[in-house]
Amino acid sequence: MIERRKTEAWASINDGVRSTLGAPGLVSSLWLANLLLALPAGWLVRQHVSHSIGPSLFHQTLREGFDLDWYSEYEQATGGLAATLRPSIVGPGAVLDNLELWFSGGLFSQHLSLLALALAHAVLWLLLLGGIIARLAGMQGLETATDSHATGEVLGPAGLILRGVRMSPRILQLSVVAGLLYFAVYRLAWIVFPWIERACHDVTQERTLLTYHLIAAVCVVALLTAINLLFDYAKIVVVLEPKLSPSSALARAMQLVVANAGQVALVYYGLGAALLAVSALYLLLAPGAGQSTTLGILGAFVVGQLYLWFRFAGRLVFLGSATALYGRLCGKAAPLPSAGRP
Amino acid sequence: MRRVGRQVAPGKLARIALAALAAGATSSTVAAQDVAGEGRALSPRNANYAIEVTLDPGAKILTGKQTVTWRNTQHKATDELWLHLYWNAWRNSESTWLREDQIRGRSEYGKHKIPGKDAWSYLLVQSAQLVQEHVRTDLMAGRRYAAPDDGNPNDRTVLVFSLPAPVQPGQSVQLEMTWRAKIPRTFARTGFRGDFFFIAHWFPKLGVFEPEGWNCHQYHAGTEFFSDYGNYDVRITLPERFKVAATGRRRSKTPVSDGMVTHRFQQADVHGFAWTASPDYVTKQDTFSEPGLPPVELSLFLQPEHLAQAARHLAATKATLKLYGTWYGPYPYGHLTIIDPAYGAGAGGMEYPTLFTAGTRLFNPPGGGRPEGVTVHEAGHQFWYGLVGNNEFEHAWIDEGINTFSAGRVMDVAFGRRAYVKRYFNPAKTRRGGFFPLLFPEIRLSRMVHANGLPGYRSAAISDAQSRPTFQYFPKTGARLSYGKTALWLSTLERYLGWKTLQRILSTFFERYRFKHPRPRDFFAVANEVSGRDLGWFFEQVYYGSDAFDYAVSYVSSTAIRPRGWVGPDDELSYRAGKPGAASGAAGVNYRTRVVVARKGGAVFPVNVLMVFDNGEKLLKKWDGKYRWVMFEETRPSKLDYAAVDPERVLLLDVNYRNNSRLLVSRAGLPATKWASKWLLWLQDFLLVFSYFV
Repeated sequence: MIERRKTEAWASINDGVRSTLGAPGLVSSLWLANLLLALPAGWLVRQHVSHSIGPSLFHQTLREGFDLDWYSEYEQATGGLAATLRPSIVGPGAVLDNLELWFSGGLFSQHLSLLALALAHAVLWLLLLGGIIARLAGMQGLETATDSHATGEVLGPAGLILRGVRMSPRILQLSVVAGLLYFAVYRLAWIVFPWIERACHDVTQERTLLTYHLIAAVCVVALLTAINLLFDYAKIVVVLEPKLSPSSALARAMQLVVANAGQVALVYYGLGAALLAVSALYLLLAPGAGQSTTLGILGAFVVGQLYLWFRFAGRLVFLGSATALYGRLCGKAAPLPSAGRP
Repeated sequence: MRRVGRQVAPGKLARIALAALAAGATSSTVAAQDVAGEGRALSPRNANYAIEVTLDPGAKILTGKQTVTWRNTQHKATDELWLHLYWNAWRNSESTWLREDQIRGRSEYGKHKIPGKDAWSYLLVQSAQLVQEHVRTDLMAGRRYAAPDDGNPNDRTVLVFSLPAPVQPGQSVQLEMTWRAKIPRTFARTGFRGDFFFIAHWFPKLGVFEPEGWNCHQYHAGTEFFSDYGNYDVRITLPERFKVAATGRRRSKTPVSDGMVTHRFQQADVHGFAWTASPDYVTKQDTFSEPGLPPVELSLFLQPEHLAQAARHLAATKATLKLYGTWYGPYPYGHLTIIDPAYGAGAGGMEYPTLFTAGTRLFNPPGGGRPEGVTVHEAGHQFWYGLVGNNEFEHAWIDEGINTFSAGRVMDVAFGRRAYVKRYFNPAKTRRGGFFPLLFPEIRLSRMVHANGLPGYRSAAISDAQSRPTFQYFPKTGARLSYGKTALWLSTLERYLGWKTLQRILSTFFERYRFKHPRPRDFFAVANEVSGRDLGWFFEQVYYGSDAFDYAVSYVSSTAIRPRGWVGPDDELSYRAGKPGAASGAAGVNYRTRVVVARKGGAVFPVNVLMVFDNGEKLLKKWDGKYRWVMFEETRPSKLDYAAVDPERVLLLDVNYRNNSRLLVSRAGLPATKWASKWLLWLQDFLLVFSYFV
């Protein structure tokens, strides 16, 4: 039985990978949308940096690397969005900074313009998510029938957008509930971590405090990912079972996750580990500050964009695998070959 | 989790304390003489202390008895004795220290939370007797608290005793006191955390009697200390499980009773005494030896988790002893103790005679400047503060500024430019920063800008004149003037006069004012004398003034010279039409280059102006920098590439260096694109992370 569960989980991951690889255009479109959304802000920051360098000789040192002397003047003279340019965005710092923000909940205390952009990105994701799930399900031959779509139909771009927009109110309801839960976890973390600090006010060794913080951090991450996992399935249910209300979809997702915790966790955390491995690889290879030619700058940009492309692909693999597992668990997918049975 | 160890019942402790005090009572008054007998006196030794103190680690109480022998070194008599009771700064929230700290917004006491009962402290003098020519007089009836700086009636950091008869010039008196002190939860680098104790500025301590009278300021949030030199003989009684380090050399360790021991430390020619106790310390011994300098025994008291960083602490201390010793003068005491305080104790980065606290973290990558930076800085204070004992209440810039400048120089010479470090995983958002550091080896900090604190100074440049007494600086910006501004103007002098000259200035100042209390005018006089120049104009601005320095290239142009209109000799006039610069690039064409340099700040400094032309030709002009602007006009066969004012960056006090250079044609495009593209990647990743929640 355990072997069968493992096989189902791996088969689902396999389906998720295959359906993502089968939709490079979708991944590229998502990446491109992200890039296009960020570009105007990037242009604005470029203007700020350009204005700050002006006709000065700092252009030389900033071309060769990051000049902290220049930066000390820049950061004191600038504000708003442009002030989020900081030395730690170099190389692996860009990813680690955001990981830290995600973990600490600091994402929500950023400059207003950043939050507005993030909100726009989230809305875009919200409008497409239903269509993306339906498309991935269609590629896996799952029953996605609604009043206008046939079983196993693979949505084209227009259908994806249409389906996504139609599903977005239902997904929004789930996202709001998820948001409240995320907020509750962060609130809890903001209470727990300072409490640990206070409770350890007589601790004299850093490693002791670090151990307590790491334990708490594991709990926080476990809660955040558990919410994410649960609501991923709820969104899949809401798309694949259009007759269910969002609350019923959430209930069914909860039932499914609880009843099949091992498989669900194997898929989610297995993929999570793979994503962390890809990110770790990027952290090792991330281009630093040293590009001084147009070609070098372009090369570094391309490497960074490739990494982001893989991140988007990873997100789709998560959704695709969860969709495939849901299909298997609910009997919507073709049964596994008998050779795989115990 | 380490917590307070075995506690001894308060009653028992009191009995042990009394026994310890009684045992030492017969020898305490002569102890200072014993210390004084140690070789040739290096200092006036006019404030000598024999102290017996017992630590109750459970109750966090110190019980003390001390004999102070004071000699009047001035040419006038005094009928008072003024003493600092520093720990009363945290007696309650109405002290001057805490009121000031509320403005700084740094203290947990002031801004965030009302501390628990164990956080507050006090220092209570329980008895005081004057012994003068074998006559004992009780001074308690005539005691009063004074608040000479702000008149705060609730501040009890200065205690004044009226004497029955004036102390005449050259005359000595003895003051015998008993006192009791509550140790604060570590605060302003003194106090406890668990069973870690760092005890500094802990006993009733005399102010300095000067020609103008007693100089005994209240304890302020932004300033430190001032005392006379003397001999210290201190007996510390505490449970045996504690490892103890202190100012001076350990003379003995004697069991008292019931698991208590008494450690005796002695040190001559110092102006303070600090000690620390913890059962956790691991110790390392080493010796500094360098040809031409006296050897120094080094004792390192480390937290166990930092054992792997022992060599880095010792290397930084040795580099300081070597370079300061070579540049300024030798360290004379023969021993030095380095303390690595407990995590979160807030006791790191502070100097005391023959002992200092460094401070590190569990993970600190080599090249990131820590613990080397703080170790060098605090070891350096053994020279500037320990040996040259300026008044830190009034002229903190002398020790902090010279030491910041010197420590930056040591770091540069011994360890090179440090790399930028960001610490991750700081879930509780403490001031200590995250647990895991990430080193950015490509991003380097410079001595001239970062070690000297230019970014901090820039925002505080006009906040106060440095000549104002330090304790009156605005609390939020004071340190930037004491540390940063001084280091910057010393670095400016280094580049203006040359290091050899500045080094001679500093070594002469050091030599003349070792074991003395120099004032600013003493430094300026030495600088003028040694440099052979009148630098009054410079000090007038950087010390007495609060104007900012800001020179800029405000305009450049470079156009081909092609006269239009009526040209030629009077008898062969011809008319030439055309647009200016139309013949650019043609053979034989000259270019008229104009460079306007402006003084945007109020302060004046002579500067060089460099013009670099397309053909590589360089032209250096001098400007006294006095008028608000000056124009340089040159005719050359090539166009201007760029102009720069102060191209060697002599004037490190310039608050805006971006405007110091100007290209004829900006080349900001490529670097701006480069950095915007890197930021863009961060933003895209940020957006992607945010979508996690949808």
